Amino acid sequence: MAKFFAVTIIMIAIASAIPVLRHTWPAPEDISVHGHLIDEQMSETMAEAGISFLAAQFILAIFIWKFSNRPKDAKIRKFPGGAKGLVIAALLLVGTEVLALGIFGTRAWASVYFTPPSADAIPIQVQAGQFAFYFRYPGPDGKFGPLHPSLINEANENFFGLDQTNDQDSKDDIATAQMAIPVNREIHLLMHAKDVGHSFYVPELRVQQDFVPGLDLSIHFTATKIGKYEIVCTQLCGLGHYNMKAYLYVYSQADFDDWLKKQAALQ
Amino acid sequence: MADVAAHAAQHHAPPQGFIRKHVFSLDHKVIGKQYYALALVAVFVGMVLSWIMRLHLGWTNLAIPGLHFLSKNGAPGDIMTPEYYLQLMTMHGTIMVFFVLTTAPFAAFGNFFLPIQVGAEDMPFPRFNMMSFWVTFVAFLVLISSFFVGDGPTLGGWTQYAPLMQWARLGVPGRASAWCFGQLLSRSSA
Repeated sequence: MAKFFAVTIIMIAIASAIPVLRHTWPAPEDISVHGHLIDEQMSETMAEAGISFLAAQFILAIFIWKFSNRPKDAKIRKFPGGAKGLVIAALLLVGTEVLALGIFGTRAWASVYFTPPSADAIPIQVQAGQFAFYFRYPGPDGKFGPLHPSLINEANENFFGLDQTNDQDSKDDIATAQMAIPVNREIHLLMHAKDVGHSFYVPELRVQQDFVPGLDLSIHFTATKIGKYEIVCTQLCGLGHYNMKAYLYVYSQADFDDWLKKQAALQ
Repeated sequence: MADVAAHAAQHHAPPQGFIRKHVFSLDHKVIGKQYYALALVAVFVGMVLSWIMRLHLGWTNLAIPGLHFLSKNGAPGDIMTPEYYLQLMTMHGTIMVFFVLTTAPFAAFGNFFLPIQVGAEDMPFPRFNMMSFWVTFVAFLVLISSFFVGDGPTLGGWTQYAPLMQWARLGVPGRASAWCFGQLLSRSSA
């Protein structure tokens, strides 16, 4: 019985490792500049965890195979150093693994969150509300006009609450329901929530950031491939959360300029 | 002399009586098994909730018998409203995370195996350990009671972020209080 158990453990361990080793479920294509750091961190973590997992299962299976059903007077073998040795060994092994992953991970994290956007990053504002994302581009003056929440009126398509009559900076702002960005240009995304918590997630960009009501958050990224990608809300925001999404279009610079002109004409 | 006294103090007589042996036991193995039983019950409750959620995803207007009794406004005529779906989803997440995923590996397996692994007699504070289990159990009951109060549990997701959890209510306000109280009990016992 015990030997059967040991064999089962090994079979389950190998069976669960096979899909990972064969990359059966690869991550979506990485189209961002910083994405490879995150993917590398993921691979390193998976490798470390995978090796530890397989090693632990094999050792467990070997111990069960060798040491089960022993006679009662068999000599008890102890871990070298006893319990103290075991605890020290565990501390060193696990501590090294965790610290190493953490230290290597700081590079990926710092490059995304502790690095400010470059000076020529394109600022785009995104407002998340129940249950849509709206985007605002600053227009030719490069400035965003002030927001007046009391002026928000969905029926008149004034999603951001702009006072385009009195605020000079708001006059050329472009509000859209889709997000378009030029390829290979850094984007500085300025985020705020209109009502409850939401989240901005584009898997291919390796970017995910929660909107917290009351906070003005920002992230920055650079897309490297032209295409259409989905922006999904990944924080429960109410009954329409399941359906809340927008589309991100990555265009060439020329196509982006065309798009922006068309959107400006629609304001 | 002092050695003998200390030795005698360490080794108590084994517990007598059903209650002391099986209900309020101080032995880490019994407590581990109790936590495991709680985790098993919790996982079945969470699983049933996931079945009901999947039924709704497959057949949106299906009348699920008995739902009307749990929530008059959430499931009128036994047909689940979107609000009730979120309530079920919230409870499924809460139960699974707090009463299965933390209870089974850490409380159940930890209590049972850790003292054996390090060669200790028992956990350091056996009475606290025993009380912890029973507080977790009461926390589970408080959480489940939210199904039977008013129109059902809170619907803010198991993360219960404000302001959604304050605004999104069905029926009687203060919906999240049973959830919060259950959490208070379960987390303080963890």
